[in-house]
Amino acid sequence: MQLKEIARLSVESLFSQRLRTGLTVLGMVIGVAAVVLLVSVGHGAKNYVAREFEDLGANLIVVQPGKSDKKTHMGPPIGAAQRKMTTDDVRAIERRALNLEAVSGLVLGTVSARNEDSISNITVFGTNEQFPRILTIKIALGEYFTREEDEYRRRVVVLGHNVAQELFGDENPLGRSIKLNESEFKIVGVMAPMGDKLGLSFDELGFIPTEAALKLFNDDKLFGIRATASSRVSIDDAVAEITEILKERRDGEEDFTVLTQVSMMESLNTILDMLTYVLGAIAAISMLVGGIGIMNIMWVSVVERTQEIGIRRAVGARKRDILQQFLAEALGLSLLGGSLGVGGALTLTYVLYFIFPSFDMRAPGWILGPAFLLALVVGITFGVIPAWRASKIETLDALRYE
Amino acid sequence: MALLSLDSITKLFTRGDEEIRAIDGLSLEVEAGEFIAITGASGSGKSTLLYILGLLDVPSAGRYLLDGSPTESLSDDRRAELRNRFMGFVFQGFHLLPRASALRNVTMPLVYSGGYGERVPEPEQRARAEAALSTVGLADRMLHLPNELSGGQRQRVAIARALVNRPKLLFADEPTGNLDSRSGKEILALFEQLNAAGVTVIMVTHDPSIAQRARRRLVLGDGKLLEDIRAA
Ligand SMILES: Nc1ncnc2c1ncn2[C@@H]1O[C@H](COP(=O)(O)OP(=O)(O)OP(=O)(O)O)[C@@H](O)[C@H]1O
Ligand SMILES: [Mg+2]
Repeated sequence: MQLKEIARLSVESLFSQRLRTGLTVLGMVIGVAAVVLLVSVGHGAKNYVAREFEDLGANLIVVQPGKSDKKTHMGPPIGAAQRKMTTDDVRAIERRALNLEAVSGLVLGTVSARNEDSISNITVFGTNEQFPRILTIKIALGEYFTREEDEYRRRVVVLGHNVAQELFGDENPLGRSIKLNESEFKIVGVMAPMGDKLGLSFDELGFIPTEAALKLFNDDKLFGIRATASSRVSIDDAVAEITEILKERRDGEEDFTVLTQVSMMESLNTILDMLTYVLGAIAAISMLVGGIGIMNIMWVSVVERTQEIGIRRAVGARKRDILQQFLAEALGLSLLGGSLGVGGALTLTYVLYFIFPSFDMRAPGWILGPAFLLALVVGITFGVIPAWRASKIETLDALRYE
Repeated sequence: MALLSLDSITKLFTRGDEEIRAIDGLSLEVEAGEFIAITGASGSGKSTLLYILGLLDVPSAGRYLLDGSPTESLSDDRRAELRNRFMGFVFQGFHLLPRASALRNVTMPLVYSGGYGERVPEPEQRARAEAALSTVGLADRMLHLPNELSGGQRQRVAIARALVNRPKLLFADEPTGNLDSRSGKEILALFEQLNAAGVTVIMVTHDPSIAQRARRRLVLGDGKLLEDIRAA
């Protein structure tokens, strides 16, 4: 039988039972759409995280004390003295590394910030003047503190947008003083609203010079070091340089960890990819339900048309002609289910993107083909058994079937 | 050599313990170009015999040679091919596809000819089906569904379907049963015309006036051949 004739027969048959066809297809549509939607959500989450990382500062390098030894899972050897990370390390890196755009120590602490009218608890970052080139920090008023202010242990502060609002309302805080714990700090800058970046609210922070921070917290070691490579391609070289310099200053011992934005993002991506695949696979199970629906309706169709099968065989249809006819019907159902499911899910993700542009969950192109194909494979797999049975019916028995 | 040769054919049907001999040790030879009418009481095995001859059923015992070759070892698909290429069958119960127009019912055998290396292009399929329907006087009913046709019209659609692939052998199970005597005569005249052109015709009939016109008449009773009468 010609392909055209097979196609015509299946279209006619599906069309003659519109409601039944529609309901069967719906089962498949839901399965396919679920796969596409869940994968799109996973993909959107990945995009979201990537954007957050990018926003934070491209080419970021993070240095933390302590070795995360992935090979033994035993942690640092007992008794191995963990050396402090100090501003001397920062200066050494600054002096010697060629592939860095900026490097800064980081001191972290929580303080009470207060002026005449109000008081609030804030987190402060102690950094040097290069920090705005490492993390994207937008200054609305004044400016970030200078190298001199850091070196001479000036007590100056740059306030996050919300902190400034809370303490000063609409007044201009520039040049005014606040007390961080018991020390007085002069306000030299106020940040523009930045919102949350990777769960950290920049609007609730204060930035002070490293030296002033060490003094404020009565400490001499850094929380860590942050740097930015001069370009994307030089990240690996920069990491090597930093590692080299710090090791040299630690008698060859590597008791610190260097992470890059890229490597952090990669490991996060691995987790998110995993999640996406698992979600997609779970959704694929719902396609099986759609497939069973197709099988069910194909059985009904075969039984209903037993006499037709007999007539066709009597006038010369071969077994394979019958098989093809019913397979084409199952294929038609899954084609419909697959294309409506993929198309529907695609449209839905675009509509959602239109409504919530901050979370881009537009379906990634690579899932469309496989989701559609999977629908076909499932539909045909479940359609094969009824179609095969149909082709096996004895001609005369079928002819006499009432 | 005979076109069809039956040697001690038996067809058994079992219903529980009961055993029905629909055909009982029947032997028969049919030459190419014959025109045969089969008569006999209801239940005497006429349809069963026709199914066996038309390769739609297999005998329980005995040999059936078609054009000199044994048929028992033919595969289902090979039987389908022989039915499609060489045989036309008019069923007692018409057996039309209920959801297809008269035209598409008649076209159906040609659709499957392609599978046997005899592809008929679609326009020709249509032309031949239309010609067959015109031959049986249904030129004005081509696009009707079977349930929009009278019993006699349906019977004629079934006849057109049997003729459309230009068979060498035409089996007809009471092809005039639902027709008035004039239409019946017309169909008979058509069969005679086909026969004159070389088609071997074997038809079952209850109508003595029609059986009378056949050159050879077989009378069946309880699955046995009671009489084999040749016109002088
Ligand atoms: N599939 C079957 N199962 C059991 N018995 C059958 C079957 N087909 C036919 N028979 C029996 O075989 C016998 C012959 O049936 P057949 O249909 O050949 O008769 P017929 O001569 O064509 O009768 P009619 O003139 O009424 O059409 C009948 O007794 C019938 O009951
Ligand atoms: Mg009969």
